[in-house]
Amino acid sequence: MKIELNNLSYKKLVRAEKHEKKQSEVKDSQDSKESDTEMVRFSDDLKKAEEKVIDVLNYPDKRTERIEKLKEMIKSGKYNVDIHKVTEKVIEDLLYGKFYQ
Amino acid sequence: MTRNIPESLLQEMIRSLEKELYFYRDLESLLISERNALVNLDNEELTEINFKKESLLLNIIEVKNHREKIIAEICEIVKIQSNVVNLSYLAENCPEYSDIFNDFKYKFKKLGKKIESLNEINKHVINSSLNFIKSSLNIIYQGSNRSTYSSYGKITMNHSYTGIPFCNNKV
Repeated sequence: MKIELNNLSYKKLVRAEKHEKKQSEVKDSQDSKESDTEMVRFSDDLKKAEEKVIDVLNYPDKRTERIEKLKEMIKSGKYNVDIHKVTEKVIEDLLYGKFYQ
Repeated sequence: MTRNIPESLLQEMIRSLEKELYFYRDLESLLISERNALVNLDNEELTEINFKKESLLLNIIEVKNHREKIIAEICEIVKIQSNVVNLSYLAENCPEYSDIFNDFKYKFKKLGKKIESLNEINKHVINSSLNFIKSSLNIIYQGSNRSTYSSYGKITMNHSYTGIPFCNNKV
């Protein structure tokens, strides 16, 4: 009886081991898929970064465009800005800015 | 000798600086009229001045932007870093224009100090006006809620919105 029981438990153990192995294999494959998606995400991020670098390279143009937009917004009364803070910044630059030295 | 800086670029720089100076003078006169409007409590005038100030500040930023482009071009030609180029550098390295750039340096500094003091005065006037409005509102608020005299004939201690007592006299 003991042997039979032991046999049974042994079989169960073997089955359980096999099941665990299968599960770990499935998990591994899932992990590899996830890493693939991470790669895709990473490449997406790279693309975005590249676009931003291009934006920065075109910075002066973007700035003038933005100024034009802001001007339009001011004219239409849609833009609210703390003028006093901006004035202070402009004065600070005029007094202590490197260019005026 | 202009140390390889093309005449056209220098001329453009001078034009840009003249424009900038003109805008700063405009800002100076706007600050003076702002002070007058604040003293006279002229709301319409103040709104108009703020509107003008906004567009003037944008013009100043635009001119500065243009100046940076000129500096970038100069740096490319002379092969130096952009933070090196300032009015002193231009005066030293362009002897033909040295008087002009030194004059700009002097004018900008003088105007900067004037504008700064005007702005400071206006800031104080605005703050004191706001404090006056706040205390007036407090008086109105207190008057509507409590009686000034207690049943003992003493002036009750009033507190402002912030909890700071502004009337603590006892008769």
